[in-house]
Amino acid sequence: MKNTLGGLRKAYTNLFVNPYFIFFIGFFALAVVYLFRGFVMHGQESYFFYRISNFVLENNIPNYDFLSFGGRAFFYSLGSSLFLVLNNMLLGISVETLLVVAPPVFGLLSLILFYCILRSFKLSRNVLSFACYILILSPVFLYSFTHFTSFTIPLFLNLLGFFFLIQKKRIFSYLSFLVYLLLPFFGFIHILFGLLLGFFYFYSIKKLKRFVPYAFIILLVLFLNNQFVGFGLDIINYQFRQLFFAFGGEYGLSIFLIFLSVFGLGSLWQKKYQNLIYYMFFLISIFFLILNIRYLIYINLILCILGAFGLRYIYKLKWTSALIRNLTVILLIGGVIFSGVSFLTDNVKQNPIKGLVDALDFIEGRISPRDVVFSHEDYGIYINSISKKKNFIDFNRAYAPRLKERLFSLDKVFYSRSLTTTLNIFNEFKITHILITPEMKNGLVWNRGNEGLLYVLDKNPDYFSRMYNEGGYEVWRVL
Amino acid sequence: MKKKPLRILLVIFFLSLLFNLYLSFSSPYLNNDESYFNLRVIDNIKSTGLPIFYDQLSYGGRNLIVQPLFYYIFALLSFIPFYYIIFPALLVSSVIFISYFIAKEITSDEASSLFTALLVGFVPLYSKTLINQFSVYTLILPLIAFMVLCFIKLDDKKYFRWFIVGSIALPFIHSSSFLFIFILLFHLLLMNAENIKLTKLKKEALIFSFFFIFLINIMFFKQAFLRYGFDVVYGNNPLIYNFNIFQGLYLLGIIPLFLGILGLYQGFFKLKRESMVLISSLTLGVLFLLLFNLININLGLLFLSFGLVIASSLALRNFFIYLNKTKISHLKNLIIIVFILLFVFLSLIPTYTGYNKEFSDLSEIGWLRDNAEQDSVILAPLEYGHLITYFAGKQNMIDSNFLLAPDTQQRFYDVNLIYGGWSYNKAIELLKEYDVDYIYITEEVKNIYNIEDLEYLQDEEYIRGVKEGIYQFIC
Repeated sequence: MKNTLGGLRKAYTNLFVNPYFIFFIGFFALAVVYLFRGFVMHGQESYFFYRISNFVLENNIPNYDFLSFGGRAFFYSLGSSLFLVLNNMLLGISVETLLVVAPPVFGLLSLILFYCILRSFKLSRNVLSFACYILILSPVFLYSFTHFTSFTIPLFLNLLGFFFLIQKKRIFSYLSFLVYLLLPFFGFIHILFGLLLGFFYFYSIKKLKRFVPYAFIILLVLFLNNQFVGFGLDIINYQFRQLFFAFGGEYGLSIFLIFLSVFGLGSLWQKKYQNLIYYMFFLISIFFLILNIRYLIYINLILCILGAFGLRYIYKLKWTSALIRNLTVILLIGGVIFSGVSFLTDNVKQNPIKGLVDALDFIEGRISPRDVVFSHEDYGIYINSISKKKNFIDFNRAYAPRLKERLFSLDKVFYSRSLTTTLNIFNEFKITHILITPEMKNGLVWNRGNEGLLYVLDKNPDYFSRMYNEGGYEVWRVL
Repeated sequence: MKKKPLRILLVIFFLSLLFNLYLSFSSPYLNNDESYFNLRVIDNIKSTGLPIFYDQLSYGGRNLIVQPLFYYIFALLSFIPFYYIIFPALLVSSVIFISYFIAKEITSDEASSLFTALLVGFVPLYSKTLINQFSVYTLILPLIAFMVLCFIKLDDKKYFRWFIVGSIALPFIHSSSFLFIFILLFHLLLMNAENIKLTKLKKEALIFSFFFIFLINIMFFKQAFLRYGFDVVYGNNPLIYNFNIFQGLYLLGIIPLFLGILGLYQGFFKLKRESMVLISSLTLGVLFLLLFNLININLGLLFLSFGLVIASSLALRNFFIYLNKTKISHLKNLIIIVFILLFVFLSLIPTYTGYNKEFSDLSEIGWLRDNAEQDSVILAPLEYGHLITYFAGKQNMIDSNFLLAPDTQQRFYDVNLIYGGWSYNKAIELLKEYDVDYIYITEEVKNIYNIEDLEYLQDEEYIRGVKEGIYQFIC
């Protein structure tokens, strides 16, 4: 009996650490949402890239975006859009198909690279496989690869670049250099992580000279940025709670991963200052995260590895009670699984849903291209992409024109009952239509039927007329 | 355990139980409308097997977060008549036994432990928060007290097992399980500060309970965390509790307060025993949460009183030791009688006089059940919200289940405006907005708002009196 159980345990352990099994689980986690929502585009970012890529395909790279924020300078990272455009031109795959298919494919490739990188550092099989499973279940990873986002390609490229970097053959160094050259097209934060990681890697193997060519990339980026683009340092304000998935962060960290990482740091601290380089890398990464929340995708990678060490550390501690040890380990794993499953269950529904698409289609057919549609920030991209009309505001806040004024006005229009105030703002920003959704009426903006703008619309039929009213979605025209 | 102290302990227990039951049965209704919400959930469990996850009658329909264990335990006991009075009273009085054992662990003295048990049975605060209430706190207080006892005696396997069981049960009962982990973490901090080593088993038990309670609460409150973020600690509560330190201290009882502070001082600076540090952590931790408004005031005061009463045991023991060394040691019995008299005047009588029957006549709500249309919305003060849903089976405009409820601040303000305001037009506008059909305005309600009647009533065009204490809104 004991032998049979031992055999079973060994078989399960072998399966658990088998790379193909890990990759299968990874792909399954990424693909499972497609089974529920179908093979369709999902989320604001996908629609944003769809619009930009099609625009580039038809009109070359523009310097002005006529639709976002009622019209603004074309200040976007072009990497993802150019990838879609080039693939479309070279391989003939439609942008829409790429937007749907690319995320799980890049997700799987990223997972394989992550595995290979860790393996080359000769981590034990348990830590290696735990790190991969934790990565698979992290909301940040799932967010990046269950639909097309601005992280999908740069995260993959960063892993690919580092994978090439740590290879011994010279050819891989060139390849790595090429990959890192591509990264600036996706945003400053991505190349920053890549080079930081490279720097610490060369420092740890005492071959800092090899980093010199890569250092030129950052100088090049800074020069080009300063001369032509003017993107700045990509510093974005955010709320502390956005860092945590459980507290409403769209791609926040799992709280339990943070707990595990604390134990992981405890495990590193066993060797005290011998691991100083890792602490430095970790602290600098935290600093970059403070500057830009998008750095979270890279912090997540670090925490997954630390978490795996933490899990091993907890398990190997000398516990007085084996029961408590096992229960605690199960709880921590359960917590990590819960975050992943929670993310997947929240994201199985297609976004935008049919009711919204119908309303947006109605807008497309009924209003002129010059008209500006006023709605909540969450619908701005859809107004641009599906209705092909100008929005008042969307999620691309960086370098948006009169942003502070717009945010102030948005608040005023939503909550003011004054017709004059509302009309003045509408005149100022040339707003001609208003899109109202059930979500806006049920907590996203208002809680009651007669608050602010809803009251103004209801009480002033001489100034506003409702053009569309289906399933709680309303389109109003400013007369 | 010796027979004599056991007998005394049993006498204290039965006295406390009888006291609680007497006050409960002398009232026509349970105090605190939340008691009736709890009864509704149990009724729902009995009929469907599940608690209420979506309450159609509250706020015109809203999602609820229900931690179900408390309800299932009482649903199982519901075949016993008056289970909602008898068992809460039993649970509250059971704290006497737990306190006795904790005090004994701290003092190793029989007499002071028994006095502690006596004090814990009659805390004036109980009359406001526990007596004649079918509240989850009646289970939480003894459970957390028991877990504190288990933690003190954790090296004993029996208590270790009970601690684990308690840690597993706690997050399924109430969110105050967070309070428990906060107390334990505070304990860890104080132990480190005092340079007292915590045994390995205790550290492990602490780690386990921390993660378990955290995980289960995250699962239960996922929706709330997503909606409110870190503000979830305020529970979407529109009432701003200003912790009135003097009123709070009076409710804690003068004896526990005086002796408790003395006991804490002696325990923390002189005794430095782990069990006493735990009680100090409980008291200081709860006080910290109360001062920063991070905890429900009733719950906070309950645990503060518990901590102070337990800490009193040390002051009592030291007092008796000191007494034995003085020339008046032969007057010990007389001093005990004086102490009992002080207890009667400063604890028992304030507990008795502090008890008020919250609801004396709810016949108008019965009328609403029989005469109002099924989908009617009844306007009643916040304190009556659950009574409307339980007795009348109609929709309320506001009740005390604030978490995930829509727009609580505005509703609370609007309800106050309708009752206490003077603008007819504003009132009509609000009544229309919330689709109110009836206004519940009995003498008790008028007393809440300190009004004779609705100030703005002019004619009977929109608001008509249909019965004493009920207006109908016609629009």
